[in-house]
Amino acid sequence: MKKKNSFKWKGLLSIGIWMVSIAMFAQNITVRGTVTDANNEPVIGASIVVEGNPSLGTITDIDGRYLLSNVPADATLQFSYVGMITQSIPVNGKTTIDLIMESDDEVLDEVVVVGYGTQKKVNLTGAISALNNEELISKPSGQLSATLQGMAPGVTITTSTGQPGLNTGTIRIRGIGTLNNNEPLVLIDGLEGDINDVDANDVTSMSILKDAAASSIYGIRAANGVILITTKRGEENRTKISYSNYFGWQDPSGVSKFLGAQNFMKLANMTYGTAIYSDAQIKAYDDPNRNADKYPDTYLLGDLMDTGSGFQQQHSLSFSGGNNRLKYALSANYFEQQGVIENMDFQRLTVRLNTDAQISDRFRLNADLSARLQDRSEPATAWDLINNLAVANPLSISQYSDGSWGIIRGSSNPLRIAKEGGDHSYKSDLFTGNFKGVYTLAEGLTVTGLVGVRMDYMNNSIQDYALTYNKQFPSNGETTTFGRNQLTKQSNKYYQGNYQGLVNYNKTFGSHDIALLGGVSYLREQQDDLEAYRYGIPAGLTEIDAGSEDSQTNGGTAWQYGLMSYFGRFNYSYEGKYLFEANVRRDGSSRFAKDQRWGIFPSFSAGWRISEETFLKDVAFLNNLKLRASWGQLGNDQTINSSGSLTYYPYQTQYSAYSYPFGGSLQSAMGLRVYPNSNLTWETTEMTDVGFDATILSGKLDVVFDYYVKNTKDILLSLPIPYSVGLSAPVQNAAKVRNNGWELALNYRDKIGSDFNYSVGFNLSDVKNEVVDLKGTDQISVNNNNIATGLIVGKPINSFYGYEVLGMYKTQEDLTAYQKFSNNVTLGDLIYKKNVEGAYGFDDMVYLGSNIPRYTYGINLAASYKNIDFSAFLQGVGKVNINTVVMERAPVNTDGNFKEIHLDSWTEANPNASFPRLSSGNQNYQSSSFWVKSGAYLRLKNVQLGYTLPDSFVNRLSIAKCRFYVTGSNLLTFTKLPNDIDPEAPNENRYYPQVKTYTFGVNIEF
Amino acid sequence: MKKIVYFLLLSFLILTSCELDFQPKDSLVDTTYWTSEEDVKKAVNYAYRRLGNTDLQAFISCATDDSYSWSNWPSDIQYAGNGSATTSTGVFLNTWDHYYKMIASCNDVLDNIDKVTLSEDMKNRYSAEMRVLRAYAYIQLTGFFGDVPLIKHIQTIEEFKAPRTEKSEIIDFIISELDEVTKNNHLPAEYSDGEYGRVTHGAALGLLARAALYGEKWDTAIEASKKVISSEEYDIDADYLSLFNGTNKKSNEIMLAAQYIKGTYTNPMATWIGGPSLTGWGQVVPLKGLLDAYECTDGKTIEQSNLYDPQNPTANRDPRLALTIVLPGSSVNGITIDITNLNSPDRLGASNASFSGYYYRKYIPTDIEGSWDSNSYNDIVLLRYAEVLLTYAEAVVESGGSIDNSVLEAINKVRGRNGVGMPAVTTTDRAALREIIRRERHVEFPLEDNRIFDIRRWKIAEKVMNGTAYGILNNFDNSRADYGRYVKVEDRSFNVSRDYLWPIPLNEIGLNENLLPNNPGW
Repeated sequence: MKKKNSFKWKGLLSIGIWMVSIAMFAQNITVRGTVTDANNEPVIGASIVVEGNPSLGTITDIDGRYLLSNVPADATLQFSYVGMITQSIPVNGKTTIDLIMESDDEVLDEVVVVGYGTQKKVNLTGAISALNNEELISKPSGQLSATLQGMAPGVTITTSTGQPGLNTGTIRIRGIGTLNNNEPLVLIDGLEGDINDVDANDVTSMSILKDAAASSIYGIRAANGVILITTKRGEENRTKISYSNYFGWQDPSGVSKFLGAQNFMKLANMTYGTAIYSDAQIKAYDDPNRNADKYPDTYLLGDLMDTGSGFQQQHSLSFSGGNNRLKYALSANYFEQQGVIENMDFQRLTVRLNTDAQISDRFRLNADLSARLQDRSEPATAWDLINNLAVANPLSISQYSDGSWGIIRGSSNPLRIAKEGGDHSYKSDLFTGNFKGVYTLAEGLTVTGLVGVRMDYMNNSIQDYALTYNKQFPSNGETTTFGRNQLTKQSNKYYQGNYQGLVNYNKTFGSHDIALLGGVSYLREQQDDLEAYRYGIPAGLTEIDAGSEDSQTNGGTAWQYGLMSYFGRFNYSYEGKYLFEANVRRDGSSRFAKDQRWGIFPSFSAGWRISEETFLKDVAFLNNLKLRASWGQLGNDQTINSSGSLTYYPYQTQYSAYSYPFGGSLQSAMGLRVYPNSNLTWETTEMTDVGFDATILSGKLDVVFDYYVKNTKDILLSLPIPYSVGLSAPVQNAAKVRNNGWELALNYRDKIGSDFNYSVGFNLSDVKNEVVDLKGTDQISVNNNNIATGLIVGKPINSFYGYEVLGMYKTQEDLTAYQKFSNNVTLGDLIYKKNVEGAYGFDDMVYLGSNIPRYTYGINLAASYKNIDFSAFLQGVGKVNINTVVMERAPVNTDGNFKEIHLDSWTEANPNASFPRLSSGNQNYQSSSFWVKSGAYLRLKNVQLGYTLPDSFVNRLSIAKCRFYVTGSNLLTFTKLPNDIDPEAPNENRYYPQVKTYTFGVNIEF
Repeated sequence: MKKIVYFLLLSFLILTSCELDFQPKDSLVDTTYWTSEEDVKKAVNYAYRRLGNTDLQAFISCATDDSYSWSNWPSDIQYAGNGSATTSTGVFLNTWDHYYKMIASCNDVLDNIDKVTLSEDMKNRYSAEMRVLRAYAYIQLTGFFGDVPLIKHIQTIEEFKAPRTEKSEIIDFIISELDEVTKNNHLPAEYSDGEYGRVTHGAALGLLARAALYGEKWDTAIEASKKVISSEEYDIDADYLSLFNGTNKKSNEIMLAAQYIKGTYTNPMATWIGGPSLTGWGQVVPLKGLLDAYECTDGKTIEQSNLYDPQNPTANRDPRLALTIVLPGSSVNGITIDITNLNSPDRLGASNASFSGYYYRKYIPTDIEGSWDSNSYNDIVLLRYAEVLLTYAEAVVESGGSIDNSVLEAINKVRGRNGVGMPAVTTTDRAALREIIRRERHVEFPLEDNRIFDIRRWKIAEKVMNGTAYGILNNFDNSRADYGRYVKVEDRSFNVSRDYLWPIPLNEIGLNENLLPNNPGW
């Protein structure tokens, strides 16, 4: 079924390619050339059109080159670019016209997308990082979120899994502000959405609003930062067709390595202190020709990692163009990623049509439609697959020599399940429509109405098969069956309606520029979930009706959310030197009771373009310097429950429905689970930011610096309450957290000779997180893995706590000198420092570090020589702690695997061992300084080498540009951690590993 | 074009009147709950959901000399068994959390029932059901932890950090609650078929007897158990195993059980206790300590009986041994389980196989369907008539009162069960009877609620929970170093000054410092 789908999608693409190939362009005279600026830098995206015939035109590519066919020999070409002086050059039969454009001091640089509008970058007073399409597509990745990593200071992405479709990562802007949902607000062309619903190829620009001044126009939702994504639109008189693809192969990285069977048995005997495995059995392994069915030595986790092809591919095709009345941009992108594990795949097709219609001189209409169809598949019990094999010891057999399957860990066989245990498919079909009308009432005064809808149909099919195994090997004919032929179908329908009305007014009075924005918006979300289950499904059938009726169960639920907002913004600038902005927003959220519902969020910011002052005008090396300062308040209404999912009715005391059997049949039951708290209100973040933007050394070096303080109060949090209350903790406005930090971005570009261009980009940021107040409920808690984390005033959120290890008990004197952690403690165990009398407890635990990364940095290197280009991107974290106990502890029974480090564990014969005594107790696997380690790393995320075919060659094929490239991702990592722990996603083999990717791709523009 | 402007302005107006009041659509909110009898009944039913918790029940047996758990999952019980537990060992918090949840569910009904108009009888009945379940939870909590917070209503935020109440005061509370409920006949002797499983008058009396016995209030225990016996509502069932395998859920012997139904309301019992052949995980397996407690068929202990064969230790034993434990080569639900067959998946050392060489038969439902899923549907028995009989006998013996025939009758009724048929006890010697009753409780109730509390109140834990725990006699695998000897399972230690009570869990102390000091030694 999956196969058929991908065939269909590929078919669609091949039709597209075919359409391109028949689009023939009649040739006349062809003009080409390179457009550069005063510093001999290529001008990218400069527009070249034939005067009097605006439909004939093109834009320059990344190297400033252009090619324009079918030009009348006596025509005049008009070259234009934002911030540059427009020039007209007569062709006069020339086929090469190179041009140096001069900057226009009156019009400056790029335009950046801000909340409900755009602003010139030089006029910004808030902290905003903007990324363009080039930056985003330079790192081939299936998920747009992943491409953000290391690209902008203050923005961190952490990925816990490399599983196709789930490898989206978590985005944090300026640290962790709250103890609940820290996800930034993502707006795609003004509509709330998920960043990974958009293909990187469709994005024109992405703005990351980091401070209050920039994001407070989004009020209650903006405390975690805002990401604005703008998709590509058609341009007047520029017909553009482009196609790009890449093909890649992934390799797992950071997969745990284990010791083989012989060492396993030796260490297991040490663990139990008794011979679980006899000497004879261990000795049998000395014989390489032993009977492998009887004396197996397996590495099943490794076997699993080889079952998938790891192949991935991406194809993008786009058409855009238009005239002064109607513009369009149509694109289709197909992405497919096959896992390094069999049947763990992801496919996504996105189609987008953006149209702009000038209905009349005063009325403009945008209608954008998009669809994103995706299908993620995984084998049955995928959540447990990797973990299950990671603890399957090397004596576990997956397949015997006769091909029959073995039973692993006494219950089924994950490798067989991955192959034939079932199909779990998670489909999501998202459709969005975005309709915007802009009416110009008078010069500078416009009214905008916007309606956006977003429908996501999620259909999951979770099918498992019963698997039968021989009870023993060699078989005695008896079999055991695990599992059932069962099927769950889930249907979830998500709807979002977004209605906005805006009034904009812009006016210039002499040296005074003012802009006013007023608006109102209503957002409504709803989700309906339905689920059905049956078992007894005959092989090959895939629908509920195929199962037995008496096994049927079902379930369903729904939620709704509403947000009403009023907002306004005032911008003022004097002579382009003194900039001021004020925002205010009033939000009402359905998450809170009527009386606590509404919040007002103001912000103010100012900028001073000091380089425009006469006293600095003549400082030659200083091209631009702007000082910025802002203050503002932001809100957050998102509440999460103790299991981390969003809740929608947090203030209401709910009696949830259940059942319980009496007399053999179920009766309904209803109960209170969560402690009631009706006094909830939004949480507030107050942020102060100062910074500067500078361009120096004749425009070769850009510097951006920001320092900020972010105080979040009334944090919405399920602060644990005593278990004796008997109810789950409610969400409360419970805590205060402070983040302060700074961000620095440097970008240097230059050239050597005429053919060698290079640039170096560097960004570094730090954020210091600190819990400021918890209403006296400071607490440490220990999870199932004995990892203790604390919510303690003065320390980062959820920082690591544990015992301080003084060493190991090495002598009898040690055993009497130091208190023992538990009854079974003896020589070779860890000594924990005791701080207070009594049994070991929280009072003996000390702060051991935090998993919130500090000093995160990114380095971008790029160089090009003639047709060859090269880029490298490194990313790293300077300071972070991870608790490795789950990754490095030894098993306490035979259900587990030993690692290399366990060979050097304490015994009487090895008293200076690096690892404590092996035992079946968990006294050494407590939260302690022994396990909290530095997770600092530097990783070569991406290297790319490209080659652009010479114009002389491609022009004969009617191609404007053709570039090939090869890319490698995650190739090198520098860290002090063992090489089977991935520093970016340290995990205990719970998740699909991170991957190294090698890709090959091509970009073609017609 | 003017129209468009009007349209846009109009849309502003529409926006100002948008909906922000949403209510949950799959649950009721307190503003509308507590209006009808149906609301009360549903909330009462909700509290019953806490009766069964197979992640704790059965596993608790591994904290006694009966059983061993090889896995530290789901609840670290292994460490509570071998003495290496600390205040952060999972089973302590899981137990604490579970019973306080049960108490909160009961308290919620008791706090709100007066808001609803319903007949006095029904109000009394529903309240009594909740008071009995709450009392049961406190019996468990005081047994495990000693002094604990006594919480009688849903706490206000100011009351969150509740201090501990003395165990004796809680026992008095339990007894007065159960006494009041039973004295006033708030509960029916039995329910209609469709309501089977609710707390009955007899169950309340039985729990009263248990609480009094645990609290050493012998007269109360005698009085309550006598009332049960004389009511003639209950009897010893003719089929011991049927009480636990799902085939005899409404037996006259069962007084209170957590209810389950095949397919729709199930538990993972068979997964925990079954061996690999039964697709179980062998997480709770019997130890030699339990096997040795069964008398020989002549009614004598293995130390005294001539019928005991050290080379074939399971021969000639109390039939309950073979009913409770799978002996090598016997079959369960038609599947042969023979750990002495060195190719068997149940053999020693095989994955998920028993470390002791034995598996439990008791509590395996008769037709489990494979898979690790929760597919068991047998009820978890919490109180049965056999216990009331032995409670009566023990209370009389311990009270110092005269030992009449009714004591022997009570003991012999349990021993003489059809299919068990152990020789009748005739001695009236107080000390001898004490031993007999204790042994009888040991072999009658494995995997049920009682053993951990028994070894604590009899102060024998320091003896039975110390030293090496053994499994089966290895007379079948000469490649093992222990050939000819009993298989060693683990070394256990018991700290007399500490281990008679579990600690208040570390995470709870972190949230409520008023619980300090912790129990002695912790």
